[in-house]
Amino acid sequence: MADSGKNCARGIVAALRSGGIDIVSTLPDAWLGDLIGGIEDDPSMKLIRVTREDEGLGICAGAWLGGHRGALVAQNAGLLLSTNVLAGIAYHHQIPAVMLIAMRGGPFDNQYYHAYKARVTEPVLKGVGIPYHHINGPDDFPVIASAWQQASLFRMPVALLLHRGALVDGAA
Amino acid sequence: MLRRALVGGLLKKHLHEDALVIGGLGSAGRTWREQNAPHPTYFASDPMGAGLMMALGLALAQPERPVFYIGGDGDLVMNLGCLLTVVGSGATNLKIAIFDNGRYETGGGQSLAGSGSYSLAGIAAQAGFPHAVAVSDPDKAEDDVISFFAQPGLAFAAFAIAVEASPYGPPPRWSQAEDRAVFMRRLAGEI
Repeated sequence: MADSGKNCARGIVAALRSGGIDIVSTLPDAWLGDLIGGIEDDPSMKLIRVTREDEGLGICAGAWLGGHRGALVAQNAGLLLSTNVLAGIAYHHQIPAVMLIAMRGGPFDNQYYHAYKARVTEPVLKGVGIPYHHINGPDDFPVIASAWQQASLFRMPVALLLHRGALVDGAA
Repeated sequence: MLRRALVGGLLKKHLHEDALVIGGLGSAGRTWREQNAPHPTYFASDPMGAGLMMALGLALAQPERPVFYIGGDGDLVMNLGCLLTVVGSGATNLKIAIFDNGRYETGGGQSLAGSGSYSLAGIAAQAGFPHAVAVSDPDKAEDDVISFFAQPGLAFAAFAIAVEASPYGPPPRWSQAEDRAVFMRRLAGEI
């Protein structure tokens, strides 16, 4: 299992690198440990730890102002918290970013406190009008590599909803 | 207590000529706009609480240039954890000036939560800023500004701003996205 997580992390980091992402903000989730470690170990990326996820979106915005490509790595609870900043960056500032979101609350989660998150994440993204893609496992990692291109063309953040198979136990 | 125009003028006078500026929303941002400073400036506007993080992102993206954030206390206290993030980021090219009057000035002058019971400079110092000062004496303000900008690393200054009216003007001619494009093209040397 641990090796699967690290293999997934390597694949996602490689996809981010090929998309030119070089500044990554994060607030952890249990599923994100290997990915965050992989980003921290990658010399082409700078990892910034934030205290709230919407800070990370602000950092992404400033990074793009300065000519770099930013990503946020967080749980879907953090995406929900960030909705106001997300909408402001998408529509008021019109700035791209990539959001890698651990999609907690699915059929493989066994805690009540996660359950609501999966039920509201997609409706919120649809409500705000943010493009999103499901990343179920390594076969979907090419979408991660091209997410920046879509964000840049749309001039708004794009969300990648990372399921357990893409972070913890996918065969990579 | 300090007049906004005095502080704005001193900041413009002593800011490094190569600096990039992120301005917050409200009276602090308007004060900077009124200076007509030559430095490339992006006014972060809404959403509240995000401006300082935009400045940090810009500082990380442009590590060879000084970056200066000027914003209000209401904006900052919406996301005080930002101070920990700034320190933890390792950025050393960011200076932060906060207009501190304990009020949401352009929102009608309502008090901030806990207004009068805290020190923003004290909070920044405890967060790990190597230089964090409260500036309130008009006769010492210029020396304080010079010292603030002369710091080799992160610096934070909270300016005690007197209560003055700061009404919203009419909507500007250009949208946020249009201003953003101009700022980025100026940074890229295209205009």
